[in-house]
Amino acid sequence: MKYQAGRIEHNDNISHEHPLKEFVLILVALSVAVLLGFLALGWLVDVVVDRMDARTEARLSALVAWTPPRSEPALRGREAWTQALVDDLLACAGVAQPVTVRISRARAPNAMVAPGGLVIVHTGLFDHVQSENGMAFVLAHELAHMAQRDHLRALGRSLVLIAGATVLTGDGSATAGVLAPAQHLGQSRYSRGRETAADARALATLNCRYGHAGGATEFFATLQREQGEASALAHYLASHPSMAARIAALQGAMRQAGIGTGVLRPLPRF
Amino acid sequence: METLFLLAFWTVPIVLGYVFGRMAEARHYRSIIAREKNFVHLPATSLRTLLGNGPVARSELVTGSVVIAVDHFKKAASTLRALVGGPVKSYETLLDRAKREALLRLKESCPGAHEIVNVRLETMPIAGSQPRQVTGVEVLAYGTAIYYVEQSAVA
Repeated sequence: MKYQAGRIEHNDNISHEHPLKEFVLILVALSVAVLLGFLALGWLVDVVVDRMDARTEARLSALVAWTPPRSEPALRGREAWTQALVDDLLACAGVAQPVTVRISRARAPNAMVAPGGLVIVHTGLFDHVQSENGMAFVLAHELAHMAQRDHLRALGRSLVLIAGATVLTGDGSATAGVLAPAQHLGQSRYSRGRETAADARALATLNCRYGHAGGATEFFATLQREQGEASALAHYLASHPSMAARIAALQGAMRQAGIGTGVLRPLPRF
Repeated sequence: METLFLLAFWTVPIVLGYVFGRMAEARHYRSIIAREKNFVHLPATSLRTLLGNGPVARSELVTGSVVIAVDHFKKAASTLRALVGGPVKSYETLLDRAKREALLRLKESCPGAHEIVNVRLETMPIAGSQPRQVTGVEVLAYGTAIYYVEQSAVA
């Protein structure tokens, strides 16, 4: 047998495709698949949440609820006043469960609902409304989220996201970390559609409680004036319809339903 | 903002890995091809018997080994590939280069030999600081260099 030395003319052991092609192809295909899966599962969450009965909702809320610490002593006055306001609104808002109000010292004008009938109000919100009616509208908006079970929807979506990330990566490690901000996104924000629905519901609640919807646009008008300067608001504004659009939508809805404005009750001095 | 930081945190090493990894790979292939041409006269086979048939003056164990780093682009591409399965193309060139480089270093370690027989290749991953992490590969080539009594070398 004769040995013939040779040089590698065409290397069959490596693929001659551009390395980026494989990378981009898999990345795009996976992103599309994940997005479609998330949308489908999100829709499924909506179906489940809509069909859930009140007892199941209460049991589910109890699982994730936490007992909030009392507000700091200096804020107790605001807490008691806001609690009374919320209690007055409950029947009109169509919320059956008891609601607890907690005031949190934070400059961002914000209010949010947490599972277990908890409404958290930032102190900054008090500087952004001029009347009790204005505050009542913001609280009614949050109660509308509660009545619409929007926090359960957000919770369901983030559960889907965490489960999906864990299944895809095999563990909760490095790759799952990429999705961490998205989980946060799912927890703290509702879709624009849910926000608009909550606005409409809050309007009805306000009309039911006071006999008119005066002060409904107060908070948004204040935000609109500040929009240019305050960057701290950016995160809040991002998921919400623009202020001008929201004010216009509210005024349109008021005209359509024949809801007028009336005398506003003053905000107590704290 | 945090998302942007996180995105940069993940993208920058991958882009760096792609740019410098591609440059290093192209340079390495040029060197491999040129050196293989210089050493084409020295046969290295996996045979257990000799190619030549003259009296052997001397034989010795020779080794050649190389360690090549896995860049972050190759790692990211293989991570993506691991999700869907199939050939990990980004590692093919890495291992091809490592094997050919190890064989070249084997030959360069015994320039006066007439042939190298019983050549074997071993591949080992170099582990990183975290479990299951791989930062590079080592390929070791070893064989027996044969020196014939002069004038009876392989034709």
